[in-house]
Amino acid sequence: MADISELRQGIANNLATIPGLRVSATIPDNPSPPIAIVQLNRVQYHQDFKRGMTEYDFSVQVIVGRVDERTAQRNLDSYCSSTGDYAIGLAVESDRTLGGKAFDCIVTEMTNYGSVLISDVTYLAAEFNVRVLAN
Amino acid sequence: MAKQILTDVVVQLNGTSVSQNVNSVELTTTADAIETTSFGDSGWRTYKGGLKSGSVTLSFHNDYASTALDSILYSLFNTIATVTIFPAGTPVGTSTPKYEFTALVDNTAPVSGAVGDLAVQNLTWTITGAVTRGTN
Repeated sequence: MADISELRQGIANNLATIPGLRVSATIPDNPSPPIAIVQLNRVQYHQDFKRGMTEYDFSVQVIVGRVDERTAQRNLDSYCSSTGDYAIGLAVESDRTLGGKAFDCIVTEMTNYGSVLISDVTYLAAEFNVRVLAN
Repeated sequence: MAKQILTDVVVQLNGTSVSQNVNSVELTTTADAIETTSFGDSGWRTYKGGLKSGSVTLSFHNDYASTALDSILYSLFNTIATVTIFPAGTPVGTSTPKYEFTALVDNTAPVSGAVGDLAVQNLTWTITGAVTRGTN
């Protein structure tokens, strides 16, 4: 079985190619936007006989500052885009083996675009689902 | 072990294990039902077993790497392959049998799936000859 921490770090490494975006492979106590946080949501074991494949569902939560509403949304939009230097999907899939630790990975969707409250501060955030196949 | 969850099934094609690319297997054997109904059977049909046959259905997760699953399956296309299935893994024993037979690999599906799907091959092959159940 793949080391989950290595898969998590592989996603973080790919995200780190986005200019100006902080990346955390683990959930920080006090995130400092703009930041992408990699979280593990689900593991499905026994996808092939003899533990030939395990499926991991990660989410990447991207949080941006909300000092100026329009600027915040414009920034978040660029992360949600399917193309461009800031596209989360392109960055995560820039090395689909996550440094050789996975068979393949794909960013399947973006959900939960909206405000989040962290330590009494309102931010704008969106979540990206990442499906990782490994053994 | 009594009732069993399938996790460690071993599937071999011509002696090469492809288990770690297989997520489903079904081996089916059937026999023709030859009718022997005659007068005096009290209105009920009667049968005897006739010729036997079988098929195997395998669901593969494809791998296009050199010498990996796709190359193995495609090289078997239109040939007779020896298929060995160990439902309870190896080694073989009285409670961990193996089923062995030859099958006509008359179909493959090198590319199957929509965008974003896992590459799969879901194949059913016709068994040619006997299916043997071994315990040693």
